[in-house]
Amino acid sequence: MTYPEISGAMADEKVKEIDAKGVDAVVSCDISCLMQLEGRLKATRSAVKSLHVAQLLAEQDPES
Amino acid sequence: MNDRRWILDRVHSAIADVDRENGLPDLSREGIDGGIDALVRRFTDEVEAVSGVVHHVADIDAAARELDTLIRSNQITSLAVSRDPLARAISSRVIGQHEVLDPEDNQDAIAEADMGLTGARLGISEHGTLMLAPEDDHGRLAALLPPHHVAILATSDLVGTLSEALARLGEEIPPTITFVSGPSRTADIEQTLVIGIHGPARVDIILVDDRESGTT
Amino acid sequence: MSSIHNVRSRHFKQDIRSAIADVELRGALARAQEQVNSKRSKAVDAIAGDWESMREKARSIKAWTLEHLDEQLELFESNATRNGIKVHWAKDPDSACSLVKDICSQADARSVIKSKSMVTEEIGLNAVLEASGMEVVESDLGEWIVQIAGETPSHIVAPAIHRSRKSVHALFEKTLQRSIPDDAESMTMVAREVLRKAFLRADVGITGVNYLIAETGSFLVLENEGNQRLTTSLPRVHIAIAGLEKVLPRLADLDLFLRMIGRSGTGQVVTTYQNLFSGPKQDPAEDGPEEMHMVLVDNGRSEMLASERRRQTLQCIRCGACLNICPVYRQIGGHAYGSVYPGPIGSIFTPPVAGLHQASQLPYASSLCGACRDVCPVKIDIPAVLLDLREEIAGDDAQKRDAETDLKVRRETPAFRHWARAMHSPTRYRIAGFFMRCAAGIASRTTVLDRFIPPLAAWRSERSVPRPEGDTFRNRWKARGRQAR
Ligand code: SF4
Repeated sequence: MTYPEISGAMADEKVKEIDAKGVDAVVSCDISCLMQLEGRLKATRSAVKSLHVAQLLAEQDPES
Repeated sequence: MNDRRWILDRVHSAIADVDRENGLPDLSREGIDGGIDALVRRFTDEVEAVSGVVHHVADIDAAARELDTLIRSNQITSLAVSRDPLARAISSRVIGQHEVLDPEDNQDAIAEADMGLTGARLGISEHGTLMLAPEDDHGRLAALLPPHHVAILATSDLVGTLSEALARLGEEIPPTITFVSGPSRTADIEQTLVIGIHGPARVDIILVDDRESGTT
Repeated sequence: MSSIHNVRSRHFKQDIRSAIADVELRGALARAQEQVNSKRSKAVDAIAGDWESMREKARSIKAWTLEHLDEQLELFESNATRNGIKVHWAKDPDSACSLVKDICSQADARSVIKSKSMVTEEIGLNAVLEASGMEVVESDLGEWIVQIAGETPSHIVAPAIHRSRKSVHALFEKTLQRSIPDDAESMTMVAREVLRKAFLRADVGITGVNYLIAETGSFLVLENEGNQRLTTSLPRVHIAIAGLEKVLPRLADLDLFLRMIGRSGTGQVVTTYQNLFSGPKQDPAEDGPEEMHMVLVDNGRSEMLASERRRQTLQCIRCGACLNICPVYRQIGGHAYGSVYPGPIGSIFTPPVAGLHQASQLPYASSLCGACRDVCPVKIDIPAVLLDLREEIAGDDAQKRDAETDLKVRRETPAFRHWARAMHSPTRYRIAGFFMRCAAGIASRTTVLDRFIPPLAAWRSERSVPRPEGDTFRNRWKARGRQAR
């Protein structure tokens, strides 16, 4: 959080690429990467969802 | 001298009691298999990969014909020739309209020449590299100032790798060695590759099998 | 005292703002990075199985040399001296610059030609020579562009990477006062013509050094353009300047390092010209320099050598791969770092040399993603060194940081202390987690908390705050365990 401008610019580039791919969701196992991307996706009103790998597994899990 | 002691003392105490690496690794590796034919093939491919050209010929008469073609097709009007005996023998067989410059000529004149002709100590096949030792043939400026460099290399002077080339030097290391792989290049303007900036824009290598004149 | 010429890394925070606002710069950097990285991967993949073992060998040779640096330097000195090279030692930039100035004055030099050298940028050599009335001309195309623009290099291998072709064209026309076609080729030929004259009038040539060879007292310098061959062929005197860490023990080590540096830096299988110097000319009738000098510069290196964790910084062969892969460099370019050494290597080299307080922001300019460590041909663990620097900067001595970093340290230290405590016990972790979720819930809806938690405001400046949804992972995991039974 020291240089929000830099991390914002980094996220921007990624989000643009993710949007261009036409996917439904981004999955990651790193919580800080995920928060960074999710924050930016929401801020730019993207339709792409962001999921932690545990969330993805939980969705598929018949027992929960 | 003051700074010398200051630095060496500090360097010494900085590493006085470190855990040291276990010696230096062995760097020996395979050369290029397949004898002289493989060396020639690899050399030719690699020189081309870095935008140079190899002309492989049997003897010095054939080499002279290649040089003659290069001079004519590039409309060369002045040629700077080093003192390399092979280069001399070949250039003396070419009778053209061009002026011939000697290393004794002044550097402005050599800078104005259209082509420079020199020998080469060795060729290294792995990366298509010429090993120039300018003091061998007084060819420093001829290989550098004109926009077109033609080097004469004997096929028997091809080696596989840089290691082999360095091993051949033995104890006698000439004051300057330049390893040349293709023409001068830059990409400093928007990463656009431009061939030929300060050094030669064209490098032709005449690879001669036989140092003697042919029987033809 | 060790220092870096014109360092302005204390202004990092301001400088990144203007860099990020410069859309053209960021576009150019992204394109340049993609181009060089794809060339690099191709060149590295071509020797696929070998690359990792080559890296390990290169690392161990460099590490070994650093651990024997005193002996190796003395060995280089005695062999080089025997070859007729005059070896000089300089503990800091002042000493190095005045040494070089004196050699130039003794040679009655009016005009000095230089080929690209980062260490001369580090010590601010050009300014010193110019102040004593000498003309100094940079002859590498990129360096020359930067010189006539009155700028500093923004990359250690490609100094003018921040400039577009159009801007270089405008600069050339303005400087040379004539009209020039605007394609890269014509512009390059114009530079050739102008610089050729400078070569022919130069009295002294100055180069950097890639490798000092202890065993033979030789040194090797790499280039693609041929400007360095000219720099070392036409003037009467050749002065080479090297950081202490440039030593390789054996001539045969070149075989390994030369197969790596081109691939790693520019994606070239081999650098076009590899110039190995082992003394001035022997025959007076020869062309080439009559005098050859070697200036060995410490400037903070012996101090770095003494630190076990930072010593590896000196393994660097200045290939530039870490800049090319770095996502932060990609967004801000080289100038924002405020040091002649930008990017990941700059962030670990600049602070100890310039003084931590001069560059305390740089070790934080990294997401610690580790891409630099993974590409580094000599396996420098850059993130580990960054953390080591952060540790010292955030320590008790406030003199080691600038005001900007001091503020950050004061804000964050208590938070991290609490965090560390929370992580020590499951109960405390659960309680902390509960409060965090409440806070995030509030923060995702309103901005009332931003005033009390400055990092939150910083976060929100660029993105939204996530809203916690559903049950926690811990609860669900527990529930799932019960069901399974
Ligand atoms: S730190 Fe490694 S990757 Fe970066 S310039 Fe130095 S050698 Fe190259």
